[in-house]
Amino acid sequence: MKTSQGGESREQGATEGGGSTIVFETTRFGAVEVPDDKVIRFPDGLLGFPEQQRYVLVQNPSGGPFQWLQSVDEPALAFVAAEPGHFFENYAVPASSEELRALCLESMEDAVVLVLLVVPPDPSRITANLQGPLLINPDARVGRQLVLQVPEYTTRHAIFPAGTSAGEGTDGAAPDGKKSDDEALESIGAKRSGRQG
Amino acid sequence: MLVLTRVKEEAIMIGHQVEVKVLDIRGDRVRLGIVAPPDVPVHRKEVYLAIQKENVEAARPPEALDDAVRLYRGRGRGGEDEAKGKK
Repeated sequence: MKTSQGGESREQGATEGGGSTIVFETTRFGAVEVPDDKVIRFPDGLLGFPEQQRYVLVQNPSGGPFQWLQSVDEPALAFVAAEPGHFFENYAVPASSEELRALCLESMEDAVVLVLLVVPPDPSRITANLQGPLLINPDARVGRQLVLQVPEYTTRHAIFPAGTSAGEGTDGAAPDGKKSDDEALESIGAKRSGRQG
Repeated sequence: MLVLTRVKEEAIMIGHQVEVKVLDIRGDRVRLGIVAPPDVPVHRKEVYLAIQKENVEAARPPEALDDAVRLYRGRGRGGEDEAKGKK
């Protein structure tokens, strides 16, 4: 891939070429500008989304271990993702040598693994798809969604232990934080509505 | 749909690079051997569909994510700094 140091930015739809940043619209985050080399290609797309092949990772604005996998080409398409180690200490992806090679990875140590989350209205019931992890080569910025044939990994693993609730902090974290992050939520909402006009 | 009859040990070619071979037939179970290039993913269809469905589900706007952040911090695991900061 050729790169140049030109300081120009490009509007959405920028394809191959030497621009150093890319600007694209998103429903959730408004206009996003990132360096070209932050774009991760999924040549096969994700299952069910074969056409969307370019994504960027965005840290969740309100923090936590969550990230967003935002489509570059489809403004409304964004997934909540997380590194599985935050929730599943023993989770391991048994990628085959062919799968590693397809991503130009020499070993799993060089890979970034993310799992996609389903976030229902009750956050204590968030589930992670451990059967379909994303395997990413962060240097080549290319990724693929794997389909694991491991009996103990399903598409829905609860990330919080059963019985977890917002008020159950073990070290004194107060349940009164209920409102504290609403500003972040509002700012996201504001951006979003601002972009839809 | 193209329909072909094969017996054990016979195979079909899909394009020039994908081979599907009938390895064994027992009752209503058929064992298939598949040879495909590494960039051609091969999946059991029900698993493929399950992950596809989950992806579609995951693409829905997650309105409760901020609650989830609080929940995560409240656990005091992984995000210890943040949890301590709340004391």
